[in-house]
Amino acid sequence: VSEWGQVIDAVLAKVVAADSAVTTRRGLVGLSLIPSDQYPHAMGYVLQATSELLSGGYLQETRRLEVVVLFVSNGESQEAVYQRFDAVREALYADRTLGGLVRRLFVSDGLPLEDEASAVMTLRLVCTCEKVV
Amino acid sequence: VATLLDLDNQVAAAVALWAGAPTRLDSDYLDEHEAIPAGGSRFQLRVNAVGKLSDSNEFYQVAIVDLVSLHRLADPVDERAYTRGAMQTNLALATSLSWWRALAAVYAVEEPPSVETERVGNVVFFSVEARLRLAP
Repeated sequence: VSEWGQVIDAVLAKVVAADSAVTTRRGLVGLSLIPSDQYPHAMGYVLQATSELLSGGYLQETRRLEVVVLFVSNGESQEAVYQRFDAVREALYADRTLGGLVRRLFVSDGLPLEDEASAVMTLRLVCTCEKVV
Repeated sequence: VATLLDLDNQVAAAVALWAGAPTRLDSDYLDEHEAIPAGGSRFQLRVNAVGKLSDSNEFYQVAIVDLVSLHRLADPVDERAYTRGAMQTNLALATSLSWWRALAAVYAVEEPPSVETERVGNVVFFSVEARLRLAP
């Protein structure tokens, strides 16, 4: 498994740990391709990966990986979706190293997208993970 | 008469016997030539002349030794496995007057060695500065 893939898998495992009703996948697909029985659904992918050399660090570098978890729900209330965000963030913060995979993580972004004309809601959670190699 | 090069060679040979068997980096000044593998120990050593002292019999070369010990943690989370282990063993030697005096090139220790410690990423450093009077 790739370095990025390991982190995505670990983050998605935290999503399921926080809410076992959520189905997950690595990668991004159009909403129309998600079967109705898979809602609520979470898609995990890498938004951006960067690295920088540590000053005075003898070629050590800090790698930063921004993992997006895009939640999609259908027919849930706004409050239910927001509570899931809280629960996932708490699950991530209960193990900020993802079992030693990274040095630290934090939830750096959250973006809900709601459409009153539709029962479908999306919520984007960005988990920024850093490790020194 | 002991030379600065004698002192450099003797300090390097003595440090190589420390816990972790540190080896000398290619550069004593730069940090951008070599990466240190996890669990690896390295050192940098700079010896400089800073003048002479005399007594009624001899002139003595005075040198300052800057010794930097580097260790990349095998487990970045378990920092103390090193800082309470091999690091303490090596610090005890680096700050021991008798360790410096045991070097053939050293006549006397002019000032007790001073120590600074630091961690950058997964590398833990300690640097020692010793002011020595060389054997005449």
